[in-house]
Amino acid sequence: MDIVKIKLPVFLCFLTGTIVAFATFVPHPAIAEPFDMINNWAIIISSFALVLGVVSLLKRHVGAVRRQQPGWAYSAVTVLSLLATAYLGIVWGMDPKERDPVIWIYDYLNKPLSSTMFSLTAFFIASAAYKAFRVRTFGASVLLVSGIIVIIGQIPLGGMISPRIPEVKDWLLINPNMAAQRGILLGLGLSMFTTSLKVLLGIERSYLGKGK
Amino acid sequence: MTEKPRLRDIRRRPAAIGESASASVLRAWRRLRGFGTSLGIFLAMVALSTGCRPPDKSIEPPRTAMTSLEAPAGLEAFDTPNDRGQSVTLAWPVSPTENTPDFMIRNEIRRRQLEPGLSDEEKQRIRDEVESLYRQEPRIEYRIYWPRPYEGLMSLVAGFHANDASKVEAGWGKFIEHWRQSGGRVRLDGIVGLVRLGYDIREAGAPRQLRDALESWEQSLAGKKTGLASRIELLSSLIRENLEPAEDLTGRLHACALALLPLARWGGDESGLRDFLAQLERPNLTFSQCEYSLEAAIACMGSSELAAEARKLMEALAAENRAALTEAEQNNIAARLEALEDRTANLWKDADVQIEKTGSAFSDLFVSGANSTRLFASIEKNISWDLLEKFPSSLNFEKKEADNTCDFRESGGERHFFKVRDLVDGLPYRFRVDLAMGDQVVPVGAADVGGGKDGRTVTAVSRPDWFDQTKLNLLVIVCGFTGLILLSIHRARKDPGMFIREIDGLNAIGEAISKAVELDRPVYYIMGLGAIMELPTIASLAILEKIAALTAGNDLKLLVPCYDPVVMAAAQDVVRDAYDREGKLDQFKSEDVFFVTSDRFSYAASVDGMLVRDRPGLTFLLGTFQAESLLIAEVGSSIGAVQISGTDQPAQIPFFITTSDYTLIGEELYAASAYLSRNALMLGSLRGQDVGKALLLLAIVSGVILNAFDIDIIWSFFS
Repeated sequence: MDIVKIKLPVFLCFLTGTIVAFATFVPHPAIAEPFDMINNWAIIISSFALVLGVVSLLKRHVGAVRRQQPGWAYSAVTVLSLLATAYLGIVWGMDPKERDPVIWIYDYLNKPLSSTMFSLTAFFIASAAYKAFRVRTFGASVLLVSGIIVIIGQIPLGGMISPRIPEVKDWLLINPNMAAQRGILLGLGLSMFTTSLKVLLGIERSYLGKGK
Repeated sequence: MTEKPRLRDIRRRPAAIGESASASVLRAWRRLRGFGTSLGIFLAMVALSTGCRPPDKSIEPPRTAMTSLEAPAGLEAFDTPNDRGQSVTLAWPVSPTENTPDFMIRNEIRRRQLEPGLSDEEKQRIRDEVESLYRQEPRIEYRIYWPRPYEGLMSLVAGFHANDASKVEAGWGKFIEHWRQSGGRVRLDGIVGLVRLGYDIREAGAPRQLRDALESWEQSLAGKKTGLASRIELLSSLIRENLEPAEDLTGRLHACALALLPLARWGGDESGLRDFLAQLERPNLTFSQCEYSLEAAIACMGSSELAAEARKLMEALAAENRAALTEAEQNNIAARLEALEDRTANLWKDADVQIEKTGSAFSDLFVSGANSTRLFASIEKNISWDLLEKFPSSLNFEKKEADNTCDFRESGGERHFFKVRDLVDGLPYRFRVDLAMGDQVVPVGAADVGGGKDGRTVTAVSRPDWFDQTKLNLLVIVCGFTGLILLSIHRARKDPGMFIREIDGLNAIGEAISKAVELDRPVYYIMGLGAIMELPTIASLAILEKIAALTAGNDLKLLVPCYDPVVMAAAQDVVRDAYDREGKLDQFKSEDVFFVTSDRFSYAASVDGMLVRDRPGLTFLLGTFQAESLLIAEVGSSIGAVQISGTDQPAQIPFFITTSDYTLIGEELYAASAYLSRNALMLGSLRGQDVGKALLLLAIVSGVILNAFDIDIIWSFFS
């Protein structure tokens, strides 16, 4: 049991991880082809895993409908939508040129709803900006001024007021902003490397569900 | 009577209803003071920058009159370095003609667009200039040609290497058909491909199934001969039989000489040599007729005794002809003979055999190149040069990566680069490049005589590389950091109590869990959009394990809505195991770790709805988040949940900071697992990571200082 649930996955992880790491430095097909194969396997496994997702989704929402949990109507809509889309897809196919029903659903339901959600970001950004720009400390004041410069410099108004404003905006984005971002990225890079090494060596194996 | 408020009191207490006017003014003054200071700094910066160099807006595009096309010389073809093969690169210098208004204005636009301060009107004015020049003068473009490779042969060799018997059979069928249709006249690259294939089969040892397939097509070809040993003989005789046009003496000599190639390389009967020698004994044979064939024979036979014999014959022939020639012709032959001997001295080193198309069949065969000896032969009368690609000379300013077929030169470079992909390794490919403008077309000259007798054809063979040399510095860094982290882990085992920096967001988890317990509300753990292969997701799963243990221990409901089904399966395992360790397996419900959707905004909408309906006491947003980060985090913030977030996406960190109580910035997400577990091995790796970061910081500072003194060791290493 221990071998199947822990040692074998850790060994496989080490093996595949080593091949992937080598593929970074060795372009030869002797390494590159196994690397491609591993990537293809990952895609294939992910495709099969969608079945897991659908089962999980049905299990949760059908259960909610049966038990008449609070908000069960949402679950009913989810299950019906899933079944209806699957049925239409199986029966009519999904050729974009033929304007099949699934494509219609995607174009006229899914895409507008997604766009609506995304457009909400604008209002949420305004709300977040209000919180961030409240003048409470000296740092917040600097943030406010920088924010105003970047906002004004980004639109034609900035250039109309003074050609210096877009320049200052660029300077803010290219120098202090980029320096901070690169500092974060540098730390991130090292952390990712360390985490990869821990996973490869089997030190970090929480993802297996057997951390201890 | 109301006491006059003091500044200190106002600062301490919040705004109160009925506050006096003076207090309000003072409060406003306090708040605006910081703003005013910052604004003052900004204005000072603007004032200081006024003294800086103003942008030069007077762009006067150079107006060099274009007269005629001047082709560059120095065309080269070489195996693309540091790649996985199947690709060669062509390179040639920028033509002097390219330094015309067309080219230079585009360069100027590019340069100016990188400079701040150039208005849209000015950019448009320059674009208009370019357009007017285009109307006056046609576009300069490069055209790249190649003789279309044998598709059958390509498929045959690729099928062999891919261990695909059906591909081998199909390729062989196509190749034989082409061979027969052309009356047995097949270019030498086809022969080389076949010989190479025979060599590969013998050396590599093909799998049984493939060997059977090869045997069967070999039988269908020869009718009777089978076996690997006879394959070379078969190839040798095939070359002689199929490539020998009876009416052309020089051509016959060439064919016989080339038939020596497999003979000399892999052995077999000596019929090829006998045929060749018989051809040389024909009456009225002149030195000019056999010069290149002899050279081909020497090239094919290398330093064997046969080569010595052939050289003697060549000298004898030259001497026999001497009497019939004028003194000038004799001197010419002597010089050519001398040159021939020099060239053939180390002929067989790294040789590959390729083909040259010329006006008359079998007339050109020559050897060149000091390090890489190449034998060029013309066997087919009419090779058609197909257009492989054409592009404007200034394309690099418009489109960096055109498509998967080719790359173009870097902006501002002095050479053009063109990468040809999807080739078969080990086979020679030939190319020509023309520079064209309107009706004018001039060839780009080859870098050396190896480019062919016409001085414009270049050849290259693609081979895969075992090490990408451009990543040597990365390899050194990886090895260094691996050693550092392993050393830190080793030290952590000896000293488990080593100092590790505090992370506020993680210290607050216990307090936040307590609050959720008090409120008796569920805990939401949202891992974002990451797939299981992504490191933030793995880091997040490691944290989930600890959180699940805490929620199980405190009898809190934990809900994990997932974006990816594989992540969901892994998360279910992690949570189940945590509940099991806490002895609460009976409380675990697999439906609590559930799949939502793999559509980003649908996921955000769904999670938002759940947060609003369930009103959790504690929300974790840890993993990979993109545009939906704020959509979820703002809703989490609005329902009053304690929110702890963290992501590796720098662009999303500001949103988390403004909407969350605690934010794990960048690397802290990865450190969390080690921090929470307090496991010595994990803490050791965390310590190693911090030391590595300090070393990088040191390298950056040192690099800046050394660069100031024009010492670019560190800069060069990292670049």
